[in-house]
Amino acid sequence: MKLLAFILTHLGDARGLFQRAMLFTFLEGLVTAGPVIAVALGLMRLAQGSADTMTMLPYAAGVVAAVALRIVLIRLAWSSGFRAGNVATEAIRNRLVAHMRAVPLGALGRWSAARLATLVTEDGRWINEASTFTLNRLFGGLAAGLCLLLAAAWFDPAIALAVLFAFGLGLLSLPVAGRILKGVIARRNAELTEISQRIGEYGEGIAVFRSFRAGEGAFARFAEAADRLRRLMLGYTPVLVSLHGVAATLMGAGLPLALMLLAWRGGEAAPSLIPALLLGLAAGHALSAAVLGQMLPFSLGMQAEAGMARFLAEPALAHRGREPGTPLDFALERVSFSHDRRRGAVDDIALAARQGGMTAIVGPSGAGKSSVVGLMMRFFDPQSGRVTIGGVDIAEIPPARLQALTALVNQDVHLFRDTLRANILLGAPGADEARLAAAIRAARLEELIAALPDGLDTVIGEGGRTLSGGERQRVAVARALLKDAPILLLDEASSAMDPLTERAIQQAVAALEDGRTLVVVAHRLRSIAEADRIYVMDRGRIAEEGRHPELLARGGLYARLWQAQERAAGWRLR
Amino acid sequence: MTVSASTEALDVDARGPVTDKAEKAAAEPRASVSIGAVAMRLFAMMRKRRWLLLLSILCGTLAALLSLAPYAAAAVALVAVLQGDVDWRWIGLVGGLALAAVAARHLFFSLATGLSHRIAFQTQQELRLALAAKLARVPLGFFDDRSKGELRTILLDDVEGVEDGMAHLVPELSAAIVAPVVALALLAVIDWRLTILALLPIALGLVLIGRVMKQGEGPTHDYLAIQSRMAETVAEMADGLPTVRAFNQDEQATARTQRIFAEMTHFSDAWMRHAVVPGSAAQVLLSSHLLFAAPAGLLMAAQGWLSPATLAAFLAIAYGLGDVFASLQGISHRLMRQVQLLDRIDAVLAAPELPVSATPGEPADRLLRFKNVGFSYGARQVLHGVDFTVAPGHCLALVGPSGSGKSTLARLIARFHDVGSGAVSIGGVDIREMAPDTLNRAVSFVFQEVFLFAGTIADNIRLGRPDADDDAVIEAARRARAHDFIAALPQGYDTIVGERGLGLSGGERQRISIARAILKDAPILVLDEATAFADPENEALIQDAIAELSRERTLIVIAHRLHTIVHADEILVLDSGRIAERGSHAVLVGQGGLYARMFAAHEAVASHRHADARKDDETGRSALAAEARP
Repeated sequence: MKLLAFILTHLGDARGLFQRAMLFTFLEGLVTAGPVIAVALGLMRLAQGSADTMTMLPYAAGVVAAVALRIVLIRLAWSSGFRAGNVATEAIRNRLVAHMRAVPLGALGRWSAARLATLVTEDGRWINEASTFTLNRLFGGLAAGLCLLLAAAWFDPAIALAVLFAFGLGLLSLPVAGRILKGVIARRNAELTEISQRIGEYGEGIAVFRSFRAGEGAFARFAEAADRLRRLMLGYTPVLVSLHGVAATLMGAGLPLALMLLAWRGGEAAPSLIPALLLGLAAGHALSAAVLGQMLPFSLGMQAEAGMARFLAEPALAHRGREPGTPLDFALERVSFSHDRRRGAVDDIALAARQGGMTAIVGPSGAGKSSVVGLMMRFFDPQSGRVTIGGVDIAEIPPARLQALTALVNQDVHLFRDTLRANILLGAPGADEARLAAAIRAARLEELIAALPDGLDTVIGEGGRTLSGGERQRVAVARALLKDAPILLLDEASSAMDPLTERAIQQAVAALEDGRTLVVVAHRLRSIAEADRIYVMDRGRIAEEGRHPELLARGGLYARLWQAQERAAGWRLR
Repeated sequence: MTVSASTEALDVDARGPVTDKAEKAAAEPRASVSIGAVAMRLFAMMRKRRWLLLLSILCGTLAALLSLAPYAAAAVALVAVLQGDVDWRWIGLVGGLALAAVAARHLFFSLATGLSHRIAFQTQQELRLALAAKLARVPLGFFDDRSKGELRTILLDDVEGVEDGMAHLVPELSAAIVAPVVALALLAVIDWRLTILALLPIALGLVLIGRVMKQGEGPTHDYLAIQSRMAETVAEMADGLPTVRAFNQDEQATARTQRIFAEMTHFSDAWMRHAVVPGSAAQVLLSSHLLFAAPAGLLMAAQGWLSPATLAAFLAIAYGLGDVFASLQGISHRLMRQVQLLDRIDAVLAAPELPVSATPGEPADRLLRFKNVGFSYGARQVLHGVDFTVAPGHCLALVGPSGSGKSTLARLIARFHDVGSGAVSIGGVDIREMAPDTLNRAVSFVFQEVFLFAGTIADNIRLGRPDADDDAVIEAARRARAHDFIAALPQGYDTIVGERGLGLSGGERQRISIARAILKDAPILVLDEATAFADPENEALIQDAIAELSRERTLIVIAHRLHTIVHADEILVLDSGRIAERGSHAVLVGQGGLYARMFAAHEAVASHRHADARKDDETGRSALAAEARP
């Protein structure tokens, strides 16, 4: 029912089409019962004796006419239903994508990118299937079955009752068997986890095992796990196998039960028993075919709906429509925040980044530096305290406004499977050729573009030309240049790039830094030695703050990190 | 038999598991693959257990026969009523027997399925062992071309997926084929003329479906193509959501998905017009066994050519025919999903193995020599005529822009791949002529990515030398600068690490891998000097550990931070797979070539200051001018 309601609310203008489809489906269902009713009546007439060809002709014609009418009706039902279903599916997909942009990015941590993609494409497909076919078929099959059942009851209520009883029992067994199955599978999967890990580990680690001449031991462990896996699966097989098909079995018991009921009742065998028996048989057949045949797509549709509903229930980023204050100073005021299970919590942090100045955040890995950046970008909202721009809480500023104000350059550069031009223009879709060329020049991308077969119009990303890490970062810099946002955040995790590339990136970023609110997260302490203020983070707190000379003189964590770095810089192999 | 997606929505197999939607979607574009071949492949894998298989087929056949019982019972009752000699005790008995048959059918079907599962599980185990054994024999380079997750997926999920085909093939196929065949035989015994008429709608339906499929081929093809494009576009958008949001002022990023959804609706509508709606008549015909048989039967009975009782029995049994086409199509869908799984499994099983020499040689000493080595990945030549020697205990540094061939060269030393031309030798013996064990004993690797298996930290270090005692493990950890952080853990060396264990930082993992290499104590060390992801403190510790490890060994280092290798005995500068320059640091800087340019850039990177734009830009520009390649 939830599935039906979900689809109905997304039909929009296609509601009429959907209703039309349902009407035709209902009629088609009724007509499906036609041939059986016609032939059953004909048989009864024959049993009453002295029937000639002419008397039989209407019954014979009835069978053919009903099938012909069904062909017409099913055509009408399917063409409306399909269009309506497609409309609903498109609306649902667009709504999901719109919601992805509206929820806090932190909430997306609970929904991996792959899960979201599945929600839109695969689950969307099952919603499409449900809205175009499944509901339709289920409805039509039930209509046909009930119509036949009513006809059977007209001739002999006992037979109809037996069939209905068996069908009802089968229907009731479905959720029960489903629950038991789910429980058994959950128990099995819990045991499976550890074995699967062993098996998967062999695939991941065999190269290492071999290079340490430990391949044979690893193989023995693998073989043992594979054997345990077989025995585990085998152990659960009897219960799983016997639970399957319980509903089908119960539903198949309708006619045998009817016969036993008739025998128990006894008495005269009236000719009306003939249509009653045929109709009862047909009714049981139609009902169980409708339910069992659509069970899988229906339950997949319900699962899809449940997943979508859960995602759509994630609250969107709220705001109060306020403008940020000026100057665009960024501040964290007594902010605490922790991820569900991951590292990088921050605890009661205060931090200020002034417009026109440079603020640096340093510290060991896992100290919470990236979380601070995430809080500033409103990827997550703090659990307590507030983040402000010019004194205004960023939770009150419209998210789009906040996005427009800030630019983040980090290691994580996402390229779309599109031309290089489109990927760069993401920064400012309306930019003219002159601005684009300037950004490309400043981001040191000219050489790359000259080397590409179609220059700026070369398709990049998966399936196209792939860019190296350094090249990708330069694209990110070009985007940020075009975006020209007044607040710039650099998350400068250095990487194993060759020096020529790394140098080019540094120079490109340098072009962005002038006159903005600049926040740099740095590993390389030398690069931020001139910062107006350096915050040294350790285990989620601010351990020290100040300018470089003060921090060095204090002899604390910063001084220790600095010395370690100086020592590393002077280090030589041998 | 081939299937198309055009009627796919109608007959998703009701008994199928709920988990493999993805395969279902993925399998469709290959719908023209022969179902028969897949079925034969599955049967061939199960052949070893032919008695169990036979038993399973027997049970499945029995179940299929019993499934006709309600129809037969109805036929018996109808005949009795029409012939006017109703014995209620007899009818009651028939009902009871039919009820028992329904229960017995479930029992036999479960038995058939259970037996098939038994066979499937055993076959899966064999498949896994065959795959694992294969992975122990392929060249190590095999693993470079595949993500680790990929092999994991093949060993676990793909082999798991094959079960669905093996375990359900027999019972379902018997149900789908035996029951209709027996029903047909019964019908033919009752009246062969009506039987032909009952088959007529099915034949017509099949002809119609064939024609519709042909007409719908174009749209169906487009539909499948757009389906996969949509999956790509959405996955890409979900992946890049932070970017989409950072730059979505004019919705240009989400317009792509909106466009593809609209396109999908458009094509889906076209598909409906060309394939689905014309196919609807076929669907009706395929399940309308009564269309011709019932009218003809009524008229024939009226003419007295046929008794009403016979007609009634015929009609009841005809229900047992069911929708043969739909159930066969359900099975074929199920088999289609197997195609890709089997392909991936077969690809691994068919991978070429590392040739092992029949007469292995023992190296005389530790002299490493590359003699005019060339190597290519497929058509792309990665190394050309590389020639050098490293004397025991010396240090060779490999330098060059990314993609210059440094990593490939280093990997050839441990036979990740075999050279295309020339030879790599240790102590005068071609490494291809060495037993794999001998070579592995001679060479250690420390790479950037560290694999920790599920087990204690001590076990993970002990991988370097399985018979090492606890003291040796601790000593190795000490020398790798790992002891302090390990000792500080609540469980110390007994802490469980690996996928589900404690998460260690990259620097900590790196030091564990160095401890392993220290314990292994191989005379030649290949090192990817990539400490760059660590924070300063970790970096310094890793450097100390590396210094410890590389003492008194032959050292081949892939260098990223050029200042660390200024004392190397020889530096090879690679450019596009060729040795561009070689010599000591001082000589190379003096030459003013590629190395000198890289070193200057390196120095500039190290002294870079943020928010120093104007000054930086000027020096940057001059540096850039210097970088321009000759």
